[in-house]
Amino acid sequence: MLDPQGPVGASEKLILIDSVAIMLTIVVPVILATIGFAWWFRASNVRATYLPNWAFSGHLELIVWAIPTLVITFLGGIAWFGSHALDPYKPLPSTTKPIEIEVVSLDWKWLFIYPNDGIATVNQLVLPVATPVHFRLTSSGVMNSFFIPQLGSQIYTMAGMTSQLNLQADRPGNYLGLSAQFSGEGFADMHFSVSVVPADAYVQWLDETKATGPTLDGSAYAALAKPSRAVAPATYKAFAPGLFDSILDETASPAAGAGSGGSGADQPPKKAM
Amino acid sequence: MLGKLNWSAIPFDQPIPLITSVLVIVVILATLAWVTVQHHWPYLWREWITSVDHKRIGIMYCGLALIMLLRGFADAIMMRGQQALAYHSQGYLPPEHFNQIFSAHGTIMIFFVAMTFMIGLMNFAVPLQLGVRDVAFPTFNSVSLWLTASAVLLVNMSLFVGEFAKTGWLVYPPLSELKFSPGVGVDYYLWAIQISGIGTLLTGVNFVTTILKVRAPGMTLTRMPIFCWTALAANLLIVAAFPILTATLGMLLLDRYLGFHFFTTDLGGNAMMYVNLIWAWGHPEVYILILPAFGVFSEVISTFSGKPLFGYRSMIIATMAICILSFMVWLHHFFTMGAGADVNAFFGVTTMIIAVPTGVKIFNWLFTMWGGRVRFEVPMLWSLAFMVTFVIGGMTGVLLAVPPADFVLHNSLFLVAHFHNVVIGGVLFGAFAGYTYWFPKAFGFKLDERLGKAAFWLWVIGFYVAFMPLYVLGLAGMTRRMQHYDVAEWHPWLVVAACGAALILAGIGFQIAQLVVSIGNRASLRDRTGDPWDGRTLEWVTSSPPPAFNFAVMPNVTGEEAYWGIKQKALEQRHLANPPEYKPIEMPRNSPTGFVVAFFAVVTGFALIWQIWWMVAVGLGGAFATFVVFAWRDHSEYELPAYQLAKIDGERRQARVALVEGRELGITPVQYSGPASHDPHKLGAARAEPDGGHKGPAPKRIITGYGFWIFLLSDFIMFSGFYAAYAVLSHATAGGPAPEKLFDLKTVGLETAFLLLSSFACGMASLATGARNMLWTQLGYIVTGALGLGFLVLELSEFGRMLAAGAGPTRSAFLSAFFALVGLHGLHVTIGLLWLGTMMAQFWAKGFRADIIRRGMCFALFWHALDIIWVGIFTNVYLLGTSP
Repeated sequence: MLDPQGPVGASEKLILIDSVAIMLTIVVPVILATIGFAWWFRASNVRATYLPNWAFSGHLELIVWAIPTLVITFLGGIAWFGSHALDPYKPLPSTTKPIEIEVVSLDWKWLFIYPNDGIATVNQLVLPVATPVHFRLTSSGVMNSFFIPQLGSQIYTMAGMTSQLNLQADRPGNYLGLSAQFSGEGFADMHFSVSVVPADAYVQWLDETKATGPTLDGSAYAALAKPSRAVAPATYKAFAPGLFDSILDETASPAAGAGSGGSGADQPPKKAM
Repeated sequence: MLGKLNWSAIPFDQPIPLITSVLVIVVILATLAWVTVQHHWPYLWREWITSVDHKRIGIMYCGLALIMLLRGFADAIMMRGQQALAYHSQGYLPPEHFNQIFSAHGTIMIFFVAMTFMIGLMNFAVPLQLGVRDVAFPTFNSVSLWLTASAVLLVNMSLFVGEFAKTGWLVYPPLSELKFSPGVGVDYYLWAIQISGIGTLLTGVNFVTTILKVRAPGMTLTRMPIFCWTALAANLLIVAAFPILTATLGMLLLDRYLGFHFFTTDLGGNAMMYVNLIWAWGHPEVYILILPAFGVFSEVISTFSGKPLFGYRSMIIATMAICILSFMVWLHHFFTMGAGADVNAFFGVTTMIIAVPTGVKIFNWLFTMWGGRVRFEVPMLWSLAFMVTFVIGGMTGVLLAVPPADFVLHNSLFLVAHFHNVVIGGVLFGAFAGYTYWFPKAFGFKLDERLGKAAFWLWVIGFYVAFMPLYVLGLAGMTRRMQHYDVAEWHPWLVVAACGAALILAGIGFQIAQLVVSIGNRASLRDRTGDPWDGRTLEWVTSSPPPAFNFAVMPNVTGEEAYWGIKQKALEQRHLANPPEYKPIEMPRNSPTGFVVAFFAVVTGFALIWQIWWMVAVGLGGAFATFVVFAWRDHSEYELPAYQLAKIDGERRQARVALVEGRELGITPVQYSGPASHDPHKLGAARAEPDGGHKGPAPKRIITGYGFWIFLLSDFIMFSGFYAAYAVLSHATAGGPAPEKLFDLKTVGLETAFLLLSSFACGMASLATGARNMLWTQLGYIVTGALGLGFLVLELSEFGRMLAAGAGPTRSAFLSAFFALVGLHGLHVTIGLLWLGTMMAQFWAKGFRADIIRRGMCFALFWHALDIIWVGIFTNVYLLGTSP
């Protein structure tokens, strides 16, 4: 993530570096002072004054409380504005219409559905360059976290709930995507390739995918959903209509109301407590 | 007959756990055989196993933690080895084994090393620092220790019989649900933590009561050593946070054992509720660990700088601020859930606010060294390494609290590096500082300094070599818990990290050598005066090791740093104060209760894990019988006559003459300006009386009542956990019956009336006890019991009706939460009735004995509390549930 390839990742890297820089202004002096004080006031140093009863100073107390407070006020501002600016649910500013992708974490592979193009892929994500992508995510069971380090933010995939994420890649290339939330035996192989390609190549890829490969119908999905490890990337030329929502419904409670967290479509998951 | 247990539970096909367990079993058997041959059993039984002495218990806690450190470290070095090897290969650990190892590593290091060590240090030092003879409830203290040991035994048993959890140390559902983890691993985790959780809760109750109610005369709250303050804060956190853990794991157990739907992926279960609840415990837990360590550092830095702690009151405020703030930050553990910008920002900012009091502490330690005479002994070295290391860990922690930064760092090795940075650099260094600092007090001789320094340097350098690469790896996108990987740029860093682990291993080797060599050279390392470090707090006034009663005469405290004042006065006058007037004292008698209860806890836990139901009954029955026998005993204390005290204390005074006459190395008088020297005008004038208005430990009745109130408080919090779950799930009916169609208010109203009336009868019994009227006491209790029984019968018939109608707890998440909440109350009533029966028999057999009367008082508090809780359930569940 120190080599970000999209606006989200770049902003997050900037926030990271800014925050570290602000904190270093206090952390480095403290470390030096620790070593310096301890060394100067070592018992064998006769030049150091011994103040055996000095244990309070109102002015120092004020400074001691003020310094961290100021730093935290500053950082708190960054956290507050950063959280709002980089909210994963917030659409990215762009003149290009975002492409929609639905993500389902399965044991132990990733299913990507391109609802507007009618295709689906497993462990392989192809994205057009410089185009915002809007992900809707859920899980077929165990929780995972969808993460492409070089593009920025990750988000949980949770059964019976949907989460959302907006990302964009600015440079063509191949990037690593993975699950960042431990999900069981096949977890280590639960990674996927992200190919960012120019717009025309993307259209070409869509056309090729639509022309070849199997269809992800009900029985094909049932076979796919069975636990399996180190699954090779694959594509499907079509998928059963409403596949994402039916996966969501399977795990969501049918009559779930407010507060159950299972309300589904396009709402942030309800917070428990 | 044996439930799920059969030969396939033994890992014959897995050489690593098999050989390890066989070796461990051989070592244990050899040790037991040696103890038997040497006839050490009577000594061990008398002096250690049945001991209720807080010092012995503290030492055993620390010993347990050190042994578990070896186990946890073995896991760690296996993981580092695996990840160093597993580039483009499977390494040597298959996933099912690797996943158990990191789960066990986290569980063991947090619960059985960090927390056990801190509780050990508190046990050893707090009563000594408070100038008293023991904790508020010595026998319960022993129960706490042995329950922790039971949990340790169960966790380690999983190596040989069955398996451990493969889900990570917090067993997040849905992964930990039966559907995804059908094995016994998660059950081992759950029952072990529940059992040790009871022990920890008792410790919390015990120490809050001790610190607030059992202090030497004149030891006002603002004269307590700072370690006692941090211990108070940590134990308040235990009392407030552990019930949440118990409730949360209880819900997961109900899911796994009885098919409830709290966190399942179907019928309305909500796994994210678990994540919220577990961190509502988990974040305070972090401070349960670090606050006592802060206390140790404060004592050590002050002692080895030869100065009082700078900004004592500021430190107290900072400690208590952290204590409160720690409950307001839990969501920062899952910003990536997608809770929305406002929520994330709020929790990010509250998290950062904790850095303020923590920063204040760091500055105060710095200014404690300013103007001091710093001696670089081993405890001080650990403290300095802590200050340098902890600010780095604090910085990365604040970084993770910035939600957008967390979006890329969450669950990465950066996070792993961060919490090791604060847990090793903070808690573990604190534990080692405390271990070296109090060792001479505990055993009467110092630890070898040269080996201690070698261990220190290896540990510190090893820590940096092992964990700094993890920060880099996290920034390079490597996530935690990876059994293998294919990214070339990660590999070299993981090899470096493994080398760091090897350095730490060498450090541990030197620590073991230090212990062995020091025991061998104990004669030359002997601490004769009881004050080897020129200390400032009361533990250094007594001999090393202290007698069972700690202080022949309770010290009179006249200001902060009680012992420093006494010592400087004596040093100036070159004269020990005149011998006091010795009076006989009462000491608690040893009791095997803790050990026996723990034995039955192991039996119960093991039986529950393997679902051997008859054995569960044996275990629970045995534990209950043990408590009855304990409650039945006639003599809970023995008396030490004054002449004996005078003799023992005389020896101590002899040894101190050398110190007072200035013949002890490193102890010289300083210009001392009397107690509370730092500006009383600005900080509120001290009270006129030298004892500050504090007359010493409270009477037993007050202590018992106070302790029981604190227990009830934690019980309320556990109910709140279940109630919160009910509130969240109350609409998750999954197409099943909703509250308005389910509840029969008439029956429930009758139940309520029964319970309220029984409380009234219980009150009558209490009044009759006050008047020492046996007939009316018993009558009152009989009516209480009958009404309580009536309540239970009605409740069970209600449950039966619902089950018959197909509205059982397995039907929906709502019904799960309902049955759990109301059932928990019913369980309390059942326990209350068992207690009541025992107590009635005792009153009958023994009459109005003081301890039985105290128990009657606790029972009344318990019974009334059940009323209050029931009224809450009646209104919030039944009335609100059926109201249109």
